[in-house]
Parts: sequence; structure tokens; C-alpha cells
Amino acid sequence: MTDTTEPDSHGNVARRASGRDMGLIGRLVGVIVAPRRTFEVVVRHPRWLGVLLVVALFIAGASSWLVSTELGQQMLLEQQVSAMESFGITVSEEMYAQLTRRLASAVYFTAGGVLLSIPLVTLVIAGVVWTVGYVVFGAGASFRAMYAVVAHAGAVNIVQQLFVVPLNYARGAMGNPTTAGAFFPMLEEGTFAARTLGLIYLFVVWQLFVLSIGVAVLYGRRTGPIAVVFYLLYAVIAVGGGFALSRMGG
Amino acid sequence: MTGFRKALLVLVVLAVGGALVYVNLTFERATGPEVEVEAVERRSLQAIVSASGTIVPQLTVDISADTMGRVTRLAFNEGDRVARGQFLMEIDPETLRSAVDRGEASLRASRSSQRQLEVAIDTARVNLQLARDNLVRQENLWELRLVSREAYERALTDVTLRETELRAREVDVETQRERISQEEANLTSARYDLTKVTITSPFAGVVTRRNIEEGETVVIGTMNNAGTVLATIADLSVLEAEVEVDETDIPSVELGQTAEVTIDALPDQIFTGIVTEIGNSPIQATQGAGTQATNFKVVVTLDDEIPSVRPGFTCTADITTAVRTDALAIPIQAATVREVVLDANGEVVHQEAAPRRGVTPGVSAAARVDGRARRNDAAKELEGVFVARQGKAVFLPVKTGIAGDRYFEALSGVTEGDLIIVGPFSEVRNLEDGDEIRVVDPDAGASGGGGLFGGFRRAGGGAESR
Repeated sequence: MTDTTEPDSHGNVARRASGRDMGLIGRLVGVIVAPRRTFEVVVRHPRWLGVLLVVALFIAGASSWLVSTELGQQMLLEQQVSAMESFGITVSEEMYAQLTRRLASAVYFTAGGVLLSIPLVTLVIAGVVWTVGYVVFGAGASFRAMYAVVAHAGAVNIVQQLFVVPLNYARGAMGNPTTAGAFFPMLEEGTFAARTLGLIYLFVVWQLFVLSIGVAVLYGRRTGPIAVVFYLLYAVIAVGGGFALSRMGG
Repeated sequence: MTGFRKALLVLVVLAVGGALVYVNLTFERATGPEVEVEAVERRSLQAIVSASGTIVPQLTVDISADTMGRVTRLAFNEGDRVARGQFLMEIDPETLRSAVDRGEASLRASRSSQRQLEVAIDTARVNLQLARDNLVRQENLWELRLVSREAYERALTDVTLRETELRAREVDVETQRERISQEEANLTSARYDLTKVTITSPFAGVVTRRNIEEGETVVIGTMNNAGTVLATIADLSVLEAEVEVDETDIPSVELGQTAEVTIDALPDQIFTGIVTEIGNSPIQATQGAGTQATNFKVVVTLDDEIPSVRPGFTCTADITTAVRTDALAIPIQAATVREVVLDANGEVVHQEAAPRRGVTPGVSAAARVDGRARRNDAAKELEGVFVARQGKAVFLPVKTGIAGDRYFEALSGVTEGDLIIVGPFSEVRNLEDGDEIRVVDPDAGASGGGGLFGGFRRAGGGAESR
């Protein structure tokens, strides 16, 4: 399939019809290797249930598998203790014991949390982007199509899990190893710079780029300006979060 | 997208992914708490036993009345310095003075009676001599039968009668002599009682208390009723600190040990003294929440006079119970107790903290609580310190000697130059053998760099950084 869009005299990207549809696996792979072409198909045939189920089940399975291992439980316990102590909470022996008792049910909570949160987060993001798009670009896209675009952008999370879970298992730590902070191990923990870089997830950067392509295809716009807006928003969130965490966490 | 650009994109993605894997597996972020260290040094240590108490004069006398009466003269005030024998007060002397006069008169009368009795003796002697002369005459006449037998026997009886009369007069004189002695004793007693109305200072000192005013009546004490304490005089030239030492410290306190005494009312001054008395009877003191503390009284005699001191000032005595020069010293706050495993030679088997990578057989996540491995049955609790070695805390059992103000004497376990982990206290309390640590350079400040972007973490961060 060739590229089926080109900008018009106003800079908008007009969509040209394509007769071929894509299967679920094809769309999941396509979002990774050929996002624009895949989103054109998704926009024409906005289906979201299948891809959302696959993404949620895969992430839930990978996360809960890691937590189900002995090392994973150990890592989870350390992560919980470290997080509490970073906020100045002194973890007593009783609290340790309580956290340890909860490890047995961590698998179910992890899987349940993922299965519940992914559709909700997708819904929120789709709602916000669709509302902003409606105000800025006009009523040119249905919410169903927007939800399908955001759900398909979640395919990046599958790649993230394939990368992160083995890496976490190998290094014996539960935190996300794909932040920009990973490239700056010399930064003091808890500082503003470390906190901010720690909130910039490279897979989120990729996912935002993919989402920008999907939104551009949906509204028939150029990808660049949309991606810039997404990245600016993400940067603001990261800087604000980094500042707040560095102040609170010490 | 051209094939070249696709290939370039794939290369970039692979490079980023590879870099992520590399940095995550290679540059492990230093973990563990930040700790402060202090090198083991040789120091002069003094074992100090501290105890609180009060300042008291070595000699204190409560002046009480020996006789009852109204105070007619009062010649001192509280705080006055008085000399030995100096007049202090007088209790109304009239009654006792009358008793003396009465005794003197009685004595004079008795002596007069004695003289009368002595005259009576002389008379009795003369009468006896007359009777004896008459008896001689009557005997001669009776031999010539010139007088009747009756006359002779009457003369004989008369001699006996006169002899008896003489002995009676002699006994009377003896009795009167004893009576005079009695009168003399009474007079002496009355005179002594009279002296009691005048009260003088028994020694040179300071009047530390005056409880009487002129015109007031004093009473003498009885078995169940304490008499009036008129005043208290103290010899402030020799002062003592009476302190209460805890029973756990008392075995190390000995007579002759030096002490430094601080008085709350006289700040910034230190007075020296020596231990001169150690009590053998416990003093039961009630502390908070009704708990009983057993203390013993220890007296420290101060070397110098303190002009501005008052008896009863609260004080603290630091008694030096032992001195070590050139002793290996470890900070007191670094000493802690841990359960350790000993090998056959009694050496500590250092426990490696559970590794951060890979599955550790036998160490489950549940058993590993904040890096603490479960100890086996051979574990034993020992006192020791943590030293910083290559970014890890290593527990070393230490045999301690005397305890100074801030340092323990280390008899064994550490060597000079070892970097002892001294704080923060919360970290020392939670450390376990083999835990990872980050040594804080106290000269660099606690924050490790300020500003919005913070600072860079020091490489290594272990003991070798000092």
C-alpha cells in the first residue's frame, strides 16, 4: 500500500480512499512499522475493541507474570519500600510484614489494575484530544474514530512490555528503565533534573508521535504541529512533575 | 519513506534500545542510605560518672534551746558571719538567776547549821569528860564502900549516855556536811542552768538560718516533740557536694577520685574536689511513672571556698572513675547491637545483602525485608560498630572498655583509621551487615549540591572517597 495522503493548498491533508482493510494483527504491527497507512485504515473502519483487548491482556499478562516470580515479588517489595521512604515515611517492621503479606495477591491486583485502567485511560485521552480537536479543527471526526486511534496507539505499549519486562528481570529492579534519566546515571537521586528526566518515558515519546500521526490522519492535518503540541504538553507535565517530586520526595 | 530513511530509522531505534539496555545493566544507580563516617583515632578518654545533688557545708549545727523562756536579747541576723563563742541571744534569765540566789542562801544556811552542830559536839565531848571523871570517883568510893551501888551504876550509865550523845552530834555534823554538798551541787546546777540562757556560737561560721525573733518564747524538745531550732550555723570554709549516684555506677566510684562540680546557680564555673565518702545504704528515689531508682550517697569535698555559694544549691558532680591515654576511641553513637553468625573460630561470618540481580535460592522475597536476610539459629547478639568498606556497611563486633563523654574505648575489633559509620542515628539503627551505603562528606553539606538542577553524585561514594 502506498502513501495515500498529500497536503492541499491550505496545508490540510486530504484522505484518499483505499479499498483494502487490515486484520487485527496487521493493524497492531502496522501501527509500529507503518503508522500513517495503518491509521488511514483505522479511520475508515474505526474498530477499537479487539486492539484494546489485545493490548490490555498483553500488558496485564506481562506485568503479572513478572510480579508472580520470586524475584518480581522481591523487586516489587523494594520498590514499594523505596517509594514510601522517598516521601519521608519510615517503614516499620509491621508495615514491612503487611507489605509482604500483600505480595501474594499482587499478581491479581496488577492484572486487574491494568485491565481496568487501560480502557479508562484510553477513554480519557480520547475524550480530551477529541474535545480539543472539535474546538480547533471542527466536527470533522467521530469520537468512535478518535477512540480507535488512541487504542491503536497503545500498540506501542506491547513493544514497551517486550522490552521492559526482560530488562527489569535482568537488572532486578521494578522501575521503568526506559526513561531519559537512564542516560544520566550521574545525576543525584531526588534532584529536579533527575526527577524530570525520570518522568520522560521514551516509549511515551514514541506513542505520542504515533498518536500525532493518527490524529493528523483523522483530521486531515499535518503531523508536525500536532506532535509539537503533544510534546510541549508532555514536557510541561514532566517539568511540573519533576519539580513537585523533587520538592516532596526530598 | 525511502528505503534508506527506513533503514536509518531502524538503526536509530536499535541504537536507542541498545543504549537503554546498556546503561540499565551497566550504570547501576548507587543505592543505600547516606551515612556519615568518622575515622577511629587514638584519644585520651576519661570515664565519668555524673550525678546530681546539693551543696552542703561540711559542718552545720542547728542551735536549739536548752531552757524554756522568752528571748530577751537577740544579737545576730541571717547571713551574719559569727566567731567562735560570739554572743547570739539571751533567754529570760530571771527565774534561773533566782534559783541561783536561792541555792546560795540555802548553802549559807546549811553551813551555819554545820557550825552549830560542831559546837554541840564540843559540848558533848565536855559532858562525856565530866561523866568519865565522875565515874572514876564513884569507882574509888565504891571500892571503899563509901557510896551506894546505885550511885556507882548511875555514874557508869551516865558515861555511856554521854558517849552516845557525842556520836549523835558527830553524825549530825556528818549529815550536815552531806547536806552542804547537796546544796553546793544544787547551786552549781542552778548556775549552769543560768548559763544556758546565754547562747553563743559553737564555731566560726555563717548564720544560714534564723528562726527566732526577740520576744518570742522558745521551748525545749521532748522525746516526741522537737524543740525550737533557733538558728543554723554553717562552716562554709569546707563545702561538700552530696550527690546521689545510680547503683550501676557506684561500683566504679572510689574514695579519692577527682571530680568536677558545676553549680546550677553559678554557671560557667567548674569547681574541683575529691570523693571523701561513699554511702553504703541505698536511697530509694521515685522517678517518673512510679518507678523506683536505687541510688547511693556520694560526698565530694570541694577543694576551694566558694564565696557566693549558699547551702542547698543544686549541683552536678562529674566523677572521673577511670582515665585512658592513647586509647582507640569509637564514637558512642556508633555502637550498636546486632545478631551475627560466628564460625568455629568465633569469627563473624559476614552476611552478604541479598543480591539485586537474579533469583537467590533460599532467599525469598518474603524473607528479605529491606535487604535483611533471615538469621539462622547460630546467630548471637554482639555489640559492635559498622565500618564503611567499599560502599558497604560491615559489622565488626567490638569489645569496649571505659566510656568517655563521646567515645568508647575499643579494646578489640577495630583498628586505627577504620571509618566508623556514626550517623544518622536512624540509619545506624537500621543498618545490616553488607548493606550498601553512600558516605556523605560532612564538609560538602548535607544536600549534595543546591539549585534547581541539584548536583552530581560522587563516583563510588564508599569509604575510599575519604
